[in-house]
Amino acid sequence: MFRKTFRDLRKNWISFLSVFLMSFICLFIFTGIFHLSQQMDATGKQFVQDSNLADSTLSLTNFSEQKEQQTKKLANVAQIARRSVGRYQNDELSMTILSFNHSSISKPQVIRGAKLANRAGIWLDEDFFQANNYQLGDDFLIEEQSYRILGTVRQAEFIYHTESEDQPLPNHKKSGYAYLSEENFDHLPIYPTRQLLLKTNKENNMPWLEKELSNIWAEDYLQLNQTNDATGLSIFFDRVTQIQRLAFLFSSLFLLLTLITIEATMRRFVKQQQLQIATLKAQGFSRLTILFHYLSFGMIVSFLGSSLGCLLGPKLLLPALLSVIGNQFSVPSWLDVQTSLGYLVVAIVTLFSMLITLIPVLPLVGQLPATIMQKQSTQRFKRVWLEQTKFWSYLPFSLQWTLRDIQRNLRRAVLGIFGAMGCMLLLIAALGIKDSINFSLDSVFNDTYRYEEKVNFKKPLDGQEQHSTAQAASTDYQWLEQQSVNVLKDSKEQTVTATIVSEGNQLRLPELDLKDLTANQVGLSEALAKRLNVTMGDTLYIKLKQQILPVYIKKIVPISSPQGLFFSQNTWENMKQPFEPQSLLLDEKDQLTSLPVIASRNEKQQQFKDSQKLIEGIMMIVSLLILAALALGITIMMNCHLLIFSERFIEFATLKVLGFTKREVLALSFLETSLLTLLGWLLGLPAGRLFLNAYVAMVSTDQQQYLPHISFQSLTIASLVLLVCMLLVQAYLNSRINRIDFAVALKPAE
Amino acid sequence: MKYIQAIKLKKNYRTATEEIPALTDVSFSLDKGEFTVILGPSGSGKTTLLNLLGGMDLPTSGELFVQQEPIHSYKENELTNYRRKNVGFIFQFYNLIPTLTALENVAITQKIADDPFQARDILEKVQLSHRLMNFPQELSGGEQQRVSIARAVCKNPQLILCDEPTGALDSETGKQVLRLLKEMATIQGHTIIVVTHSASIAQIADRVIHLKDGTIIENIQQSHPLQIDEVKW
Repeated sequence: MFRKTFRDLRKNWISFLSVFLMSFICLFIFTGIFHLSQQMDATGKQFVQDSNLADSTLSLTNFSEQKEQQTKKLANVAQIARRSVGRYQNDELSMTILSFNHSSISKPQVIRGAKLANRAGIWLDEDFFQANNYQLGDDFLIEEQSYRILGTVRQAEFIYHTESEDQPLPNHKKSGYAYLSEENFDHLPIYPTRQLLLKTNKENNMPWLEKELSNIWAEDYLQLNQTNDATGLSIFFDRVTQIQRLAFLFSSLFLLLTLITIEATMRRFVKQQQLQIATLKAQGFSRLTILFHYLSFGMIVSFLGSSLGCLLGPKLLLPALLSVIGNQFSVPSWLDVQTSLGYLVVAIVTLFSMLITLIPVLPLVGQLPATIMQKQSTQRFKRVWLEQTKFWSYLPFSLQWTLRDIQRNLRRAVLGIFGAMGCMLLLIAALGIKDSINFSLDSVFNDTYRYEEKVNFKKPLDGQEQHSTAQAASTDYQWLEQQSVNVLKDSKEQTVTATIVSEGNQLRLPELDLKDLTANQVGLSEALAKRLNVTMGDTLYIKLKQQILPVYIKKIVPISSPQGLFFSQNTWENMKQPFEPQSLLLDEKDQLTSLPVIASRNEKQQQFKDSQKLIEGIMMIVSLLILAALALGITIMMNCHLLIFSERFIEFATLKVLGFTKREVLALSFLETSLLTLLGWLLGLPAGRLFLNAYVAMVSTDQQQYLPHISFQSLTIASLVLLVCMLLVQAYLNSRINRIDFAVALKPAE
Repeated sequence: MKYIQAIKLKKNYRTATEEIPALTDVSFSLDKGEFTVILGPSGSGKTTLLNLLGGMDLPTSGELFVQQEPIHSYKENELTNYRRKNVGFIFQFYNLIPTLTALENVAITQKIADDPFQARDILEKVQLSHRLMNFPQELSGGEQQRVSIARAVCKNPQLILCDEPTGALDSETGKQVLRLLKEMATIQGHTIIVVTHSASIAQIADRVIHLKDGTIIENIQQSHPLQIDEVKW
């Protein structure tokens, strides 16, 4: 029987290739993507642990020795350390400058050069150092002050680091971070924020701690943040979760398709082998032996396919994905992670494949040999429900025939529809994700941001400074302030971005004119509204310094970026908050040239171009999905239509004998193929859209929500690819129909 | 010239290792309107001969003329055209399309023939006017074979080829089918060739060609064939 198994596999290799291919893709994608998530997760956690990151960061206006001593004495506080943070920007670069001390809390890891020491010099972020081809000992200029590069560092808080939230991807050539000793930091001509890094006990009660700290630090208290909420870290770990979800989403889809493929393949195979099964039974082979023999086909093929996928996924797909996705993150090195989940999934795929093989085999092996040998189906045929309607008589005869044939074996029809639908779904996901990112960026940079140039200042400007700066601008302008605020929701705090703008037309929100906001009214981005589970008209409580303020949601804004709360200058000031913008949005560029308060300028078109590089990063996944779609479309549709061919074989042969020409017979087959593909295409459109929505939601981050979108052009391409798949399948079927030896086909069974 | 003339027909089938002769030097001729039975045991070459006569296969050598047309040298599309216009087939297991009603099964041939009969009329003639809208699975074996006969006749072909037409039927139904075929020859003037291994059926034929091991061992014209009711099954 084993020899028969292997010879049958060799003889029917085309049919079993599709099962092999689907189970291979299932595991290849799963292990590749899942390993990536595991590797990222382990590396990130190890990096956080090695960096001994503070649990919380208290932002202050000033340090105070006495208050620090009081803080240290708090029951929940285990360790504290000082840190100063500032921003240095010019037209070429944007740097976050930090001070280090001798505490081990949130200590950066030195990658190359000298150990951190109280010396006159600077330690640059390793990626920034590499991207700009610096050498140790080179000078690094900050406001005409020169600092010798003593070494390079990496710090877990900056695992994902962008210049600003406008920037969807890190640009290590332009932005980075650097460390100086406390003493050197204090000589820097930059606006500093003082921070107290806190290591707390496990049983720490954040509200209690916050209350205590605000009492101790009083007017110096600015904000208390948990390190896990830090943008870079949360983006990194959010991405790990997204990738894990993607691994399960895609592999579940492919597992389902593998099972459908194997069921169809085995059904056709068993039908072909009907006489052999009858002969084996007649010879006295037990039901169990025959059953195991046929189960072994599903077991061998799916096991080989999934095992190969499991082996090659981490070796081929993982490095390719890591080179695209992993490169966005700054880690010392990617840890090698071993996970046994891949082997478990191989076992699951193989087991499911065996079980699904039972469906066509089990009813047959239970029958008597003579019954199995009967060539003609004893299945009674029922009329299509459409036949009961007047509409039926208006249908062309060939269509009536095809509809009846579809009804005769609904399972195979569903398979054909599913193949076309799955192919369309994956193509929509592949092309749609690219369109969605393009559409979202286009919406941000052309609809939301109307400015030509964004001027960033060295420090937030007060009213007087705003007035004098605005006088230098002869064009239309709008002031922009962005800061973190904490939103209180279900006794938890979430840090979100508050965007506050003065009157003007340089930042336009969809469906909301900020001029219409009255006292305490805000706009809220749609994705954040979903996350907070609030709707229009709800009240939110936000925490600014020590104050808790209610804000009323005037409008939910369907926007890609920026995310968060939107205030007008008036509503902000009504809440007794000082409006101190860090940026000015200008209608035309080069309006402000030589003001000393200016730190840097960003041209919108350049920002847009930089953002579009994100598309390059996802092309790998897009190509992978298109390949999967082609494999799926061709293999499942091929299986389905070969199944149809095997069932209609006698009909086609009869028609040829009756004198129907090749073209007339092929037209009948083509009608059925195209009808099932058309139904699959129609169902694939909404299913693809739903899948795209889920996919886009998964790749969106808290900072950047992509808007699901698919262009007419992409839909046309996807439809054409499906059409090509169908024509390839039909071309193969045509060759089979043309090769029918009707003299043999119609020879009666003995 | 005769309606059908076969001259030294030879057909070999090639396997992986050898060439097996199915027909060797088969020569015969038939008149139009004759009811002929090709008789022989399994493996005698009778189905091969039927396939050649029906334009489903080509001889390895020899000549075959139907109405003076050289069928043996036809290309594939000419063979299709020949089957379409000149030949009606009746199979042992009927080979009706399961998803078409009795009427539709007959009517499909109407669409491809030049001068077809009306499907309803033919089905009425085979006494199935009450079963027009039934699917094959809803018909008895005899009824299915009558639909098959109606399908073959509907094209109005000059030649009707039957491969064991009563092989799957009981004796009474088999006789009904043979009666119908005989009528087609005597009344309608169709040339009917029936392939069978049953010597009983041979008794009703105008001509019996007896095949054995791929050669004709006997070719008898029966001047007084038996009536169908006289045949002992």
